[in-house]
Amino acid sequence: MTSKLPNDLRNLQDKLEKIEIDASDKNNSEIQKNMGYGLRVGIELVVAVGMGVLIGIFFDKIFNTSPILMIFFLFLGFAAGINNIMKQLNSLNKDRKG
Amino acid sequence: MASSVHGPMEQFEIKPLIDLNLAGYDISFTNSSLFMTLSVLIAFTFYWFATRKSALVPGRLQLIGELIFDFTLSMIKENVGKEGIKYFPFIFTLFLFILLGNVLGLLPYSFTFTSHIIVNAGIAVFIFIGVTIIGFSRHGFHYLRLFCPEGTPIPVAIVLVPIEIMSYFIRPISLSLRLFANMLAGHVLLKVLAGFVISLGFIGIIPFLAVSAVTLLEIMVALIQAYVFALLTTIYLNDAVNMH
Repeated sequence: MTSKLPNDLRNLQDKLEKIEIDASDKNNSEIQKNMGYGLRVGIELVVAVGMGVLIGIFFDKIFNTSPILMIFFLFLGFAAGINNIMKQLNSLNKDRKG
Repeated sequence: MASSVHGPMEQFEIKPLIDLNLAGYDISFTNSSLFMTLSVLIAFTFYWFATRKSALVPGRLQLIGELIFDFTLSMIKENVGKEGIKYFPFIFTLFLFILLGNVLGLLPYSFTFTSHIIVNAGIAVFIFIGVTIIGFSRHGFHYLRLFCPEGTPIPVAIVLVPIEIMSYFIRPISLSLRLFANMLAGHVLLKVLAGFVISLGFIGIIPFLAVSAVTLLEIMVALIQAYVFALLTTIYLNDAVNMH
Protein backbone atom coordinates (compact mmCIF):
# COMPACT_ATOMS: atom_id res chain seq x y z
CA MET A 1 0.00 0.00 0.00
CA THR A 2 2.85 2.37 0.70
CA SER A 3 4.05 2.17 -2.89
CA LYS A 4 0.66 3.12 -4.27
CA LEU A 5 0.69 6.72 -3.19
CA PRO A 6 3.96 7.72 -4.89
CA ASN A 7 2.83 5.84 -7.97
CA ASP A 8 -0.41 7.83 -8.07
CA LEU A 9 1.52 11.02 -7.59
CA ARG A 10 3.88 10.09 -10.38
CA ASN A 11 0.92 9.41 -12.66
CA LEU A 12 -0.52 12.76 -11.76
CA GLN A 13 2.80 14.43 -12.47
CA ASP A 14 3.00 12.72 -15.87
CA LYS A 15 -0.51 13.86 -16.64
CA LEU A 16 0.26 17.44 -15.62
CA GLU A 17 3.42 17.47 -17.74
CA LYS A 18 1.48 16.20 -20.72
CA ILE A 19 -1.15 18.91 -20.30
CA GLU A 20 1.58 21.52 -19.97
CA ILE A 21 3.26 20.38 -23.18
CA ASP A 22 -0.08 20.41 -24.96
CA ALA A 23 -0.78 23.94 -23.74
CA SER A 24 2.61 25.26 -24.86
CA ASP A 25 2.11 23.57 -28.23
CA LYS A 26 -1.20 25.33 -28.65
CA ASN A 27 0.36 28.65 -27.74
CA ASN A 28 3.16 28.06 -30.22
CA SER A 29 0.84 27.26 -33.09
CA GLU A 30 -1.21 30.34 -32.19
CA ILE A 31 1.90 32.50 -32.51
CA GLN A 32 2.75 30.89 -35.84
CA LYS A 33 -0.77 31.42 -37.10
CA ASN A 34 -0.68 35.09 -36.13
CA MET A 35 2.73 35.45 -37.73
CA GLY A 36 1.27 34.01 -40.90
CA TYR A 37 -1.45 36.64 -40.84
CA GLY A 38 1.12 39.38 -40.24
CA LEU A 39 3.31 38.27 -43.13
CA ARG A 40 0.28 38.01 -45.35
CA VAL A 41 -1.06 41.50 -44.68
CA GLY A 42 2.27 43.33 -44.95
CA ILE A 43 2.94 42.83 -48.63
CA GLU A 44 -0.70 43.27 -49.64
CA LEU A 45 -0.65 47.04 -49.11
CA VAL A 46 2.74 47.53 -50.79
CA VAL A 47 1.68 45.61 -53.89
CA ALA A 48 -1.66 47.41 -54.13
CA VAL A 49 -0.15 50.91 -53.91
CA GLY A 50 2.70 49.98 -56.27
CA MET A 51 0.34 48.53 -58.85
CA GLY A 52 -1.88 51.60 -58.56
CA VAL A 53 1.06 53.87 -59.33
CA LEU A 54 2.18 51.69 -62.26
CA ILE A 55 -1.32 51.58 -63.78
CA GLY A 56 -1.61 55.34 -63.27
CA ILE A 57 1.69 56.05 -65.03
CA PHE A 58 0.66 53.72 -67.87
CA PHE A 59 -2.65 55.54 -68.43
CA ASP A 60 -0.90 58.92 -68.03
CA LYS A 61 1.35 58.04 -70.94
CA ILE A 62 -1.60 57.01 -73.11
CA PHE A 63 -3.81 60.03 -72.36
CA ASN A 64 -0.96 62.51 -71.77
CA THR A 65 -2.40 63.63 -68.44
CA SER A 66 0.64 63.27 -66.21
CA PRO A 67 0.43 63.24 -63.19
CA ILE A 68 -3.32 63.36 -62.53
CA LEU A 69 -4.14 59.71 -63.22
CA MET A 70 -1.05 58.56 -61.35
CA ILE A 71 -2.27 60.32 -58.20
CA PHE A 72 -5.80 59.04 -58.75
CA PHE A 73 -4.70 55.42 -59.13
CA LEU A 74 -2.33 55.72 -56.18
CA PHE A 75 -5.26 56.45 -53.92
CA LEU A 76 -7.36 53.81 -55.66
CA GLY A 77 -4.59 51.27 -55.10
CA PHE A 78 -4.34 52.24 -51.46
CA ALA A 79 -8.09 51.79 -51.03
CA ALA A 80 -7.95 48.45 -52.86
CA GLY A 81 -5.13 47.26 -50.61
CA ILE A 82 -7.06 48.20 -47.47
CA ASN A 83 -10.11 46.48 -48.94
CA ASN A 84 -8.16 43.25 -49.51
CA ILE A 85 -6.71 43.37 -45.99
CA MET A 86 -10.15 43.94 -44.48
CA LYS A 87 -11.52 40.91 -46.34
CA GLN A 88 -8.67 38.71 -45.16
CA LEU A 89 -9.02 39.87 -41.56
CA ASN A 90 -12.74 39.15 -41.71
CA SER A 91 -11.92 35.55 -42.54
CA LEU A 92 -9.54 35.58 -39.56
CA ASN A 93 -12.38 36.63 -37.27
CA LYS A 94 -14.51 33.84 -38.69
CA ASP A 95 -11.72 31.38 -37.80
CA ARG A 96 -11.59 32.67 -34.24
CA LYS A 97 -15.31 32.39 -33.65
CA GLY A 98 -15.77 29.04 -35.39
CA MET B 1 39.88 36.03 -54.36
CA ALA B 2 36.75 37.51 -55.85
CA SER B 3 36.41 34.56 -58.16
CA SER B 4 36.31 32.06 -55.29
CA VAL B 5 33.54 33.92 -53.42
CA HIS B 6 30.05 33.28 -54.72
CA GLY B 7 27.74 36.23 -55.06
CA PRO B 8 24.48 36.08 -53.13
CA MET B 9 22.42 36.09 -56.32
CA GLU B 10 24.32 33.25 -57.98
CA GLN B 11 22.13 30.61 -56.35
CA PHE B 12 19.14 31.81 -58.36
CA GLU B 13 20.78 31.34 -61.74
CA ILE B 14 18.97 29.00 -64.08
CA LYS B 15 21.29 26.55 -65.78
CA PRO B 16 20.08 24.30 -68.58
CA LEU B 17 20.93 20.67 -67.87
CA ILE B 18 19.57 19.14 -71.07
CA ASP B 19 19.21 21.44 -74.08
CA LEU B 20 15.87 21.04 -75.80
CA ASN B 21 14.31 23.05 -78.60
CA LEU B 22 10.74 22.92 -79.82
CA ALA B 23 9.70 24.99 -82.84
CA GLY B 24 12.19 27.73 -82.01
CA TYR B 25 11.29 27.86 -78.31
CA ASP B 26 13.87 27.03 -75.69
CA ILE B 27 12.31 24.32 -73.52
CA SER B 28 15.56 23.06 -71.97
CA PHE B 29 15.39 20.90 -68.89
CA THR B 30 16.91 23.29 -66.33
CA ASN B 31 17.84 22.99 -62.67
CA SER B 32 14.51 24.67 -61.95
CA SER B 33 12.62 21.97 -63.83
CA LEU B 34 14.74 19.34 -62.09
CA PHE B 35 13.63 20.52 -58.67
CA MET B 36 10.00 20.82 -59.77
CA THR B 37 10.16 17.23 -60.98
CA LEU B 38 11.86 16.23 -57.73
CA SER B 39 9.17 17.85 -55.61
CA VAL B 40 6.44 16.08 -57.56
CA LEU B 41 8.30 12.76 -57.32
CA ILE B 42 8.92 13.14 -53.58
CA ALA B 43 5.27 13.97 -52.94
CA PHE B 44 4.22 11.01 -55.08
CA THR B 45 6.58 8.47 -53.52
CA PHE B 46 5.85 9.73 -50.03
CA TYR B 47 2.13 9.23 -50.46
CA TRP B 48 2.69 5.95 -52.22
CA PHE B 49 4.59 4.61 -49.22
CA ALA B 50 2.29 6.32 -46.72
CA THR B 51 -0.87 4.78 -48.13
CA ARG B 52 0.59 1.42 -49.17
CA LYS B 53 -0.34 -0.33 -45.95
CA SER B 54 -3.31 1.71 -44.84
CA ALA B 55 -4.16 0.51 -41.36
CA LEU B 56 -6.84 1.59 -38.94
CA VAL B 57 -4.10 2.48 -36.47
CA PRO B 58 -1.71 4.42 -38.72
CA GLY B 59 2.03 3.91 -38.79
CA ARG B 60 4.46 6.83 -38.77
CA LEU B 61 4.38 7.59 -42.49
CA GLN B 62 0.64 7.14 -42.73
CA LEU B 63 0.18 9.47 -39.76
CA ILE B 64 2.22 12.26 -41.36
CA GLY B 65 0.40 11.78 -44.62
CA GLU B 66 -2.99 11.87 -42.93
CA LEU B 67 -2.02 14.95 -40.89
CA ILE B 68 -1.23 16.96 -44.01
CA PHE B 69 -4.35 15.59 -45.68
CA ASP B 70 -6.61 16.52 -42.74
CA PHE B 71 -4.96 19.91 -42.37
CA THR B 72 -5.75 20.85 -45.96
CA LEU B 73 -9.24 19.39 -45.79
CA SER B 74 -10.17 21.34 -42.64
CA MET B 75 -8.72 24.51 -44.18
CA ILE B 76 -11.06 24.13 -47.16
CA LYS B 77 -14.05 23.20 -44.98
CA GLU B 78 -13.50 26.24 -42.76
CA ASN B 79 -13.09 28.73 -45.57
CA VAL B 80 -15.28 27.45 -48.37
CA GLY B 81 -17.62 24.97 -46.73
CA LYS B 82 -18.86 21.63 -48.03
CA GLU B 83 -19.09 22.96 -51.60
CA GLY B 84 -15.33 23.42 -51.67
CA ILE B 85 -14.42 19.79 -51.09
CA LYS B 86 -14.52 19.00 -54.80
CA TYR B 87 -11.61 21.43 -55.26
CA PHE B 88 -9.62 19.58 -52.60
CA PRO B 89 -7.30 17.72 -55.03
CA PHE B 90 -6.17 20.98 -56.58
CA ILE B 91 -5.54 22.80 -53.28
CA PHE B 92 -3.79 19.76 -51.84
CA THR B 93 -1.50 19.39 -54.86
CA LEU B 94 -0.75 23.10 -54.82
CA PHE B 95 0.08 23.04 -51.13
CA LEU B 96 2.38 20.02 -51.41
CA PHE B 97 4.13 21.39 -54.52
CA ILE B 98 4.90 24.78 -52.99
CA LEU B 99 5.74 23.29 -49.60
CA LEU B 100 8.25 20.86 -51.11
CA GLY B 101 9.63 23.59 -53.37
CA ASN B 102 10.29 25.82 -50.38
CA VAL B 103 11.70 23.09 -48.17
CA LEU B 104 13.87 21.48 -50.85
CA GLY B 105 15.35 24.90 -51.55
CA LEU B 106 16.71 25.03 -48.00
CA LEU B 107 18.99 22.06 -48.61
CA PRO B 108 22.58 22.94 -49.53
CA TYR B 109 23.37 22.93 -53.28
CA SER B 110 19.70 22.87 -54.13
CA PHE B 111 17.62 25.29 -56.13
CA THR B 112 14.49 27.08 -54.93
CA PHE B 113 12.05 27.29 -57.82
CA THR B 114 9.59 29.38 -55.78
CA SER B 115 12.23 32.14 -55.63
CA HIS B 116 11.52 32.86 -59.30
CA ILE B 117 8.53 35.12 -59.71
CA ILE B 118 7.59 33.64 -63.06
CA VAL B 119 6.86 30.27 -61.42
CA ASN B 120 4.66 31.84 -58.74
CA ALA B 121 3.02 34.18 -61.23
CA GLY B 122 2.20 31.22 -63.47
CA ILE B 123 0.48 29.41 -60.59
CA ALA B 124 -1.24 32.58 -59.33
CA VAL B 125 -2.59 33.58 -62.76
CA PHE B 126 -3.81 30.02 -63.25
CA ILE B 127 -5.67 30.24 -59.92
CA PHE B 128 -7.02 33.69 -60.81
CA ILE B 129 -8.40 32.57 -64.17
CA GLY B 130 -9.72 29.32 -62.71
CA VAL B 131 -11.50 31.08 -59.85
CA THR B 132 -13.05 33.59 -62.26
CA ILE B 133 -14.30 30.78 -64.50
CA ILE B 134 -15.75 28.92 -61.50
CA GLY B 135 -17.47 32.13 -60.37
CA PHE B 136 -19.04 32.83 -63.75
CA SER B 137 -20.10 29.24 -64.34
CA ARG B 138 -21.78 29.02 -60.92
CA HIS B 139 -23.43 32.43 -60.81
CA GLY B 140 -23.52 33.60 -64.42
CA PHE B 141 -23.43 37.37 -64.82
CA HIS B 142 -24.63 37.63 -61.26
CA TYR B 143 -20.96 37.06 -60.38
CA LEU B 144 -20.32 40.72 -61.30
CA ARG B 145 -22.32 41.55 -58.16
CA LEU B 146 -19.05 40.78 -56.37
CA PHE B 147 -17.89 44.25 -57.42
CA CYS B 148 -21.11 45.98 -56.41
CA PRO B 149 -23.11 44.32 -53.62
CA GLU B 150 -26.88 44.57 -53.85
CA GLY B 151 -28.44 47.68 -52.34
CA THR B 152 -25.39 49.90 -52.76
CA PRO B 153 -26.43 53.55 -53.25
CA ILE B 154 -25.19 54.98 -56.56
CA PRO B 155 -22.88 57.65 -55.05
CA VAL B 156 -21.16 54.93 -53.00
CA ALA B 157 -21.04 52.57 -55.96
CA ILE B 158 -19.11 55.13 -58.03
CA VAL B 159 -16.30 54.96 -55.47
CA LEU B 160 -16.72 51.33 -54.48
CA VAL B 161 -16.78 49.62 -57.87
CA PRO B 162 -13.33 50.79 -59.06
CA ILE B 163 -11.84 49.86 -55.68
CA GLU B 164 -13.39 46.39 -55.77
CA ILE B 165 -12.30 45.80 -59.37
CA MET B 166 -8.79 46.98 -58.55
CA SER B 167 -8.51 44.74 -55.49
CA TYR B 168 -9.78 41.78 -57.52
CA PHE B 169 -7.08 42.22 -60.16
CA ILE B 170 -4.32 42.82 -57.62
CA ARG B 171 -4.87 39.38 -56.07
CA PRO B 172 -2.66 37.28 -58.39
CA ILE B 173 0.13 39.86 -58.18
CA SER B 174 0.20 40.02 -54.41
CA LEU B 175 -0.21 36.25 -54.19
CA SER B 176 2.86 35.58 -56.34
CA LEU B 177 4.94 38.50 -55.09
CA ARG B 178 4.58 37.51 -51.45
CA LEU B 179 5.98 34.01 -51.93
CA PHE B 180 8.70 35.29 -54.26
CA ALA B 181 9.81 38.08 -51.91
CA ASN B 182 9.90 35.84 -48.86
CA MET B 183 11.92 33.13 -50.56
CA LEU B 184 14.32 35.52 -52.29
CA ALA B 185 14.97 37.63 -49.20
CA GLY B 186 15.53 34.62 -46.98
CA HIS B 187 18.00 32.95 -49.30
CA VAL B 188 19.96 36.14 -49.98
CA LEU B 189 20.15 36.83 -46.24
CA LEU B 190 21.44 33.31 -45.57
CA LYS B 191 24.06 33.61 -48.29
CA VAL B 192 25.30 37.03 -47.15
CA LEU B 193 25.54 35.94 -43.52
CA ALA B 194 27.31 32.74 -44.51
CA GLY B 195 29.83 34.82 -46.45
CA PHE B 196 30.70 36.72 -43.27
CA VAL B 197 31.44 33.47 -41.41
CA ILE B 198 34.47 32.76 -43.60
CA SER B 199 35.76 36.29 -44.02
CA LEU B 200 35.63 37.27 -40.34
CA GLY B 201 37.80 34.38 -39.15
CA PHE B 202 37.45 33.75 -35.42
CA ILE B 203 34.75 36.41 -34.89
CA GLY B 204 32.84 34.52 -37.55
CA ILE B 205 31.18 32.58 -34.73
CA ILE B 206 28.70 35.47 -34.38
CA PRO B 207 27.41 35.35 -37.97
CA PHE B 208 27.55 31.55 -37.72
CA LEU B 209 25.07 31.65 -34.83
CA ALA B 210 23.00 34.12 -36.81
CA VAL B 211 22.98 31.74 -39.78
CA SER B 212 21.73 28.92 -37.54
CA ALA B 213 18.95 31.12 -36.20
CA VAL B 214 17.98 32.40 -39.66
CA THR B 215 17.92 28.83 -40.99
CA LEU B 216 15.33 27.93 -38.36
CA LEU B 217 13.38 31.04 -39.25
CA GLU B 218 13.59 30.11 -42.93
CA ILE B 219 12.17 26.65 -42.27
CA MET B 220 9.24 28.33 -40.53
CA VAL B 221 8.82 30.86 -43.36
CA ALA B 222 8.89 28.04 -45.93
CA LEU B 223 6.05 26.24 -44.13
CA ILE B 224 4.04 29.40 -43.44
CA GLN B 225 4.31 30.70 -46.99
CA ALA B 226 3.09 27.42 -48.46
CA TYR B 227 0.21 27.49 -45.98
CA VAL B 228 -0.57 31.14 -46.77
CA PHE B 229 -0.56 30.46 -50.52
CA ALA B 230 -3.01 27.60 -50.13
CA LEU B 231 -5.11 29.53 -47.61
CA LEU B 232 -5.46 32.56 -49.89
CA THR B 233 -6.44 30.27 -52.75
CA THR B 234 -9.25 28.89 -50.61
CA ILE B 235 -10.33 32.43 -49.65
CA TYR B 236 -10.50 33.42 -53.33
CA LEU B 237 -12.32 30.19 -54.07
CA ASN B 238 -14.81 31.06 -51.34
CA ASP B 239 -15.65 34.33 -53.11
CA ALA B 240 -16.31 32.45 -56.33
CA VAL B 241 -18.26 29.57 -54.81
CA ASN B 242 -20.34 31.33 -52.14
CA MET B 243 -20.18 35.03 -53.05
CA HIS B 244 -20.24 35.98 -49.32
